[in-house]
Amino acid sequence: MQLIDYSNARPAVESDVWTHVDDDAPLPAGGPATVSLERWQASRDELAGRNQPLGVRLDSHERIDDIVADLPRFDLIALNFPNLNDGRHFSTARLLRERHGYGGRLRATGQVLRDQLDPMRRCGFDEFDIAPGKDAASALPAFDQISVTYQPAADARLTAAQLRRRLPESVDVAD
Amino acid sequence: MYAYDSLDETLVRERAVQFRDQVGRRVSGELSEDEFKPLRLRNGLYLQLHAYMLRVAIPYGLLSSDQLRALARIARRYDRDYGHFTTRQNIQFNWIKLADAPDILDELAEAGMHAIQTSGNCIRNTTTDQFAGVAADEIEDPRPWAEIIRQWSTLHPEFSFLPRKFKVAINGSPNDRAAIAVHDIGLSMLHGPTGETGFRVWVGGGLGRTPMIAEEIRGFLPANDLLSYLEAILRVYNIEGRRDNLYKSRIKILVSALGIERFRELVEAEWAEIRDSSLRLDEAEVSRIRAQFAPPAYEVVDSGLFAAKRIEDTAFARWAARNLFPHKQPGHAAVTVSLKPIGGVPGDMSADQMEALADLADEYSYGEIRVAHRQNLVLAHVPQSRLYDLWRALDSLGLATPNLLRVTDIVACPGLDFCGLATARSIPVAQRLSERLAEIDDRHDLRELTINISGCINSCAHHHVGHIGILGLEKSGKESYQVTLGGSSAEDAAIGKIVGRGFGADEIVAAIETIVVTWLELRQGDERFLDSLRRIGQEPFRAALYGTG
Amino acid sequence: MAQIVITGNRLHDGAVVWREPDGTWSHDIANAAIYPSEAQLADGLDAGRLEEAEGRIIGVYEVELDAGESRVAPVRLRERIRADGPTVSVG
Repeated sequence: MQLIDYSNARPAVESDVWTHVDDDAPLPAGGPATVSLERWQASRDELAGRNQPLGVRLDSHERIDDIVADLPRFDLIALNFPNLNDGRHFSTARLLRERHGYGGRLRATGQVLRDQLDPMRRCGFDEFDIAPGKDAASALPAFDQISVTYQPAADARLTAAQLRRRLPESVDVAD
Repeated sequence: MYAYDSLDETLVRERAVQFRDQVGRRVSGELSEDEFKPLRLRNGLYLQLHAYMLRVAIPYGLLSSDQLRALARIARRYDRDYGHFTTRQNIQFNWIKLADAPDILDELAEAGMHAIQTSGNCIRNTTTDQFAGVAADEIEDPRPWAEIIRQWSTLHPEFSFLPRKFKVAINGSPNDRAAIAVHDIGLSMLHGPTGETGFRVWVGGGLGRTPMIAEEIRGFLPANDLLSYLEAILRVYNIEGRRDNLYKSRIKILVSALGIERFRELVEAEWAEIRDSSLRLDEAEVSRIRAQFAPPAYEVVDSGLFAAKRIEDTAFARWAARNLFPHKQPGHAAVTVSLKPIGGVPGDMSADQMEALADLADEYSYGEIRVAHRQNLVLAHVPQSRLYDLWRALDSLGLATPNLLRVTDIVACPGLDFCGLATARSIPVAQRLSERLAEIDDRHDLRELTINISGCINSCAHHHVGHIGILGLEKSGKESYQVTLGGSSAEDAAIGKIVGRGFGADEIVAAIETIVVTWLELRQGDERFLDSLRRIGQEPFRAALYGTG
Repeated sequence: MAQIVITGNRLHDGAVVWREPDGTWSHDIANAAIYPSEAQLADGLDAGRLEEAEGRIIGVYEVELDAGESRVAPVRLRERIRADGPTVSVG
C-alpha cells in the first residue's frame, strides 16, 4: 500500500504511520490509530480517553451525521471508495471541509486510481491511499494535468470566472 | 456564439494531453479495460460492434462553420467520410480506432471542441432549443445560461462519479423545443414579477426503461442562483442516489421514491447553505457571456423576392411552407436543413455535405449552424430574400427534403447495425418507413407526425415521446418491434402508450402504414395525428392492427 | 455439441476478430476455429482471456454458429452483423 501525502505544497510518497484497527482487535498501546465508524459509535468514550492521534474510517454508504459534532477529535478521517464508480465521498469530503470546517487530514482509501487524484484533492482530500498494485510515485503528475478550473470546490484555486474578473487583461480571446 | 478565451482553450488542450497519456497506459497494459473504460467514456469513446465510436460534444447544439469543417476533416481522416448527429445535439463517428483517438482530441481542441463528458456517469451535454436566440416566441435566449452550465459542469470534481448519467436541458420559450420534461433537470426561462430573469426548475424526467415526466421543484429561481441550485440538486443526488442497481440509479428513481416534497426539502436545505457562496453568479461574468450571444447585425432587406419565388416555384414553396421557423427579426427565417432524405439514414451527413454546408452557413447565416433534436441542422439567421438561392444550393446537396416534423422526418438511433447495446436494428426500419410513407404524405398532407425508432430500451431515439414510437427488442432470437402512440416531447409532454404485442421485422412497416391509413379515415379536417389520437383513443388503432373489438 | 467459435474486439481499433486454430485472430469468421469438444473450447477461452488480460483483445466470448447454414455464420443476428458488417450502406 502506497500513500501519497499532499498536505504540503507538493505531493510526496510517504509511508503510512497509522494503524488501522479492525473492529474486534484491541487498540495499539501507542501511536496513531483509526477505527471504523461503527466502533467509534460503540466505544466513543473509551476512544475519547485515549491520548493519541485518532482517526475514523467511513465506508462509502456511511454518513458524517454522527461524527460532525466530534470533528475536532479526529486527526484523520479516511473515506473509502470501494470501486471506481462510487463517487459519494467526493461530496462527503467537501461537506467536511467546507460545511463543517474539518481541519485534520482527509484520506481517500480503497480503489483510488491516478485519474481520480485531482478531483479528490479539489474536494478536500490531502492523503491518497493508492490502490494495491499501482505505483504511487508515477501517479504524482496526475495532480498537475488540468490547470484550469471552472467551479469552486474545497481547494483554494481560483476559478476561470474569478481569474477573468481579477485579471481581465491576462486572459486573451483565443485566436 | 461563445468564443473560447485562453482559459477555455487551455482546458481542452490539457484534457487531450491527459487522454493521450491514459490511452498510452492502456496500450502498455498499465491500465486494465475495467480501469480504462470509465476514463475513455468520459472522453466520449465507446466500444461498439465494429469499432470504437466517438461522441463529440456540440455544446447546446451550436457550431461555427469552422467547427463543422473540423468535423468534416475528422470524418475524412479518421472515419469513413461521414458523421451522425444525435438527439442530444452531439455528433458521433462510428469507425474510430483507439490509436487515433488522442490525435482526434488534439484536432478537436484546435477547433475549440472536445468530447468531454459525452458519456459516463457524469453531467452530459446541456441541450437547448435549436431556435434559441431567434425564435419569435422566445421569452429570453437560453444559450448564455447553457454556456454557464457547460462551464460549471465541465470536470466538476464532486460530480464526476455520479450514480448514473445526468442530462440537463434548458429552453427559453413557453413552447418547449428542448424536451425539458424528460430530462434529469429541465429549466425553462421566465420573467419574475418585476421583469427579472429566472428559471422554472423541473427534476426527475427521463426515458429509457422507466420513462417519467419531470416534476416541478421550484416555480421561480432567480437567475444568479442558477449554479448554486444545480449544485444542491446534484449533491443530494450524488449522496442519496441508488448505487446498488444500474436500472434504478437515475435521479428520476430517487425523486419518485422520496416524493417531490421530500426531495425538494433536501435540495432547498442544501441550497440554503450554499446560496450565498461564490457560486452566486456575478453580473459581470453573466454580461460577458451574454454579449457573446448578441444577435448578428441583421440587415433590413426587402422580401418581395421571397413572395415572388414562392408563386413561381412550387417545390420551393413547399419547402418554405414546411422547413422555415418564425424568426423574431422581421424579414428573416430559421431554416431547417433536413438530414432525412427519403430512404436515407436519419441524421447522417457526409464530409462533402458538411463542408458545403459550412460554406453556406458563412454565405447565408453568419457562419453559425445548430444541431436539432430531430437530428437535422439549422441555419438560424437567413434573410427571406436569400432563401431561394439557399434552397437551390441545399437541394443540390440533398439537404432540402421538405419534411420538418413530418412523417418522413424520422428519428432513429444507430441501432443493432452499429451499437453494442442494441437489441434490434432501427435504420432499415426508418429507411423502409420513409419510402413507404413519403407517398402517403404527398397525397394526404399528414402535417406534423413524428416517428421515433429506438433499437433498444435505452431509448436514445426518444421513442417514448414520438407521436408514434417504435422500440426494437429481441424476442426468441428475432427482432420484435413494439409500437407506442401518443408521446410528445413538447410542453404537452407525454409518454407514448404501448398499443399491443410487437411486430416482426417483416411486419412493422405494414403495421405503421395501417396506423396511418386508419387515422386518415377518422381524421377530422386537417387535425394532426396526435390530436386525433387524443380525441379517439387507441382502440381504433388496436382494432385495425390486431382485429380486436 | 453446438458449433462454437471464439470472438472479441481488437484493442487498438475495436475491430471484430475471431480466434483461429493456431491462436491468432482473424477478421474473417470463415477462418475461425470451430471447437470440437467442450474441453478444447474451454482451453480456447482460457487462452483468449489470457490475451484479454494482456490487453490486446477486449471482451473474449463464445458465439454459436448456425448449423443449418453452409457457410460459417452465427445464429444470433447481433453476431451475424459483427461478422458481416452493418446491414445498411455506410457513409
